[in-house]
Amino acid sequence: MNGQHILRIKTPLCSYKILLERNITVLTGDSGIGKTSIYRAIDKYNRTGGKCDISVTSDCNVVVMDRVFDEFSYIHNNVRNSIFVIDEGREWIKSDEFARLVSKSSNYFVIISRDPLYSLPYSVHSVITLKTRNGRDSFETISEKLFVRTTSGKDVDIVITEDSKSGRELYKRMLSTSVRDIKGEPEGKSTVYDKALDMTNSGVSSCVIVDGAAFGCEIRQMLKLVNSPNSRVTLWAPESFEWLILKSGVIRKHGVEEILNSPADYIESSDFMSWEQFFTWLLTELTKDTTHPYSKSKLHDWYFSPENLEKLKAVIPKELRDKICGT
Amino acid sequence: MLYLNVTQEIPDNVIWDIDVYFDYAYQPSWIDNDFARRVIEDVDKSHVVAPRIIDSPYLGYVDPTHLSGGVKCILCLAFDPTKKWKFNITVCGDNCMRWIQRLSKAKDIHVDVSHLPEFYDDTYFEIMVENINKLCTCYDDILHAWAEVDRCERATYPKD
Repeated sequence: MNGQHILRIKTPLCSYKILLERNITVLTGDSGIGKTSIYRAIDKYNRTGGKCDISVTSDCNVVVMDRVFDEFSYIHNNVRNSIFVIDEGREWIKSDEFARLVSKSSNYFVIISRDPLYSLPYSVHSVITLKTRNGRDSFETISEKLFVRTTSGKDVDIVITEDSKSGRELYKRMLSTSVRDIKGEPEGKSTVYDKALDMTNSGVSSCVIVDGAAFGCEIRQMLKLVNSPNSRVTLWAPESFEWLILKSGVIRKHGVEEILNSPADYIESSDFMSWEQFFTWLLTELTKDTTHPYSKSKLHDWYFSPENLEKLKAVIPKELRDKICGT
Repeated sequence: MLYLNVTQEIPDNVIWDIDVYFDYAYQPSWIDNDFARRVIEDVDKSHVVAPRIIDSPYLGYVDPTHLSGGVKCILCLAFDPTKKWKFNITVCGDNCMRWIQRLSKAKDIHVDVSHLPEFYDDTYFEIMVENINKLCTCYDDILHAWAEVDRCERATYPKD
């Protein structure tokens, strides 16, 4: 399945509107905001065949996943192109079996959880919460992204990136000398919280650059740090390093702009578990027969030309660019 | 005091699915008291009409099995007499933490936690992170303890 989907649920006292942009959405937030109520409403609607005081509407099938995870019956029933809603308290959402099932699935998954789901590559933009307001006849609840702002007004002394090899090399060339260093850690993304905290302790202001398309499992924790009163951390989460190259326009190919304007329409969930995987595939495909084929391990010198570096810098939000590129 | 065990594991003696546990275990007395009424008002914006009847603005008149997972967990921590189980407070949103901290002022509470909650340091704050035996007295301490636990856990990962 691809594209954006809207899930609407109406109960006698409340209506819900959830926007799903990707194959994995994690619904989180305070207690008592209606997360489990959504699950129960869908379950009741399906069990009664719609003969109840609840309506569930979407442009595709909407089902709940049972308390007990049964991989065999899921595959056997061959449910396709549907939205699965999973309530909190299901410990199997952290299992490799579940991750395997999601990775090849044509279905979208809405998972109610506060825990980081390390086995699933989900986006910072897929972590949502619910906001309720008084409507004319009933309460109206809509989904809202947990992570909205990319940067803050804080200064930046150092940039921390999770990218190694190609990514780290390119960031080094793009950023100005006013940035002291770049710490790309080979261990991967789980260390950036640690590093940013270390920097804060040392009185150093840092900017953390992560691949937003796969950093969802860490975003709640990172936002706690970014938003803490003594924080000196700024967070920027472009979809991925490959997305940044594509977005910059250094690769001029017909159709790329259309894809970047509406990636959801082009990314089939059964082919790509995350948008990060898709952008890596796309960049590799677009450059494979050129003089500068893309490789994660080493970037061709062509990407470091002054003209290309300027284009790449232009993708960074201006407020942040002024601080880390010195322009 | 509040004792936190930070873990992604789910041992057999830990309740993770609070609905299953609470719905069959709760007693009317857990609901029919001042503490429970205040928690339910604050977290779920609902009113206790009677021990088995809750008036929710979003759901109408419901029984206590329709309370939020966070409220159910707080009530278990406060009133469950069995002491047989430990609870994972992953079902508790940040808006529950003030109540858990308040409970821990009166008695020792041992819980598992697998997400980083936001504790309030404008109130009683003595939290022991059991993994590293560190006493935290403000939220910054928790952020540091979290990183330390993460470091320890990564150190135990098998090397590639």
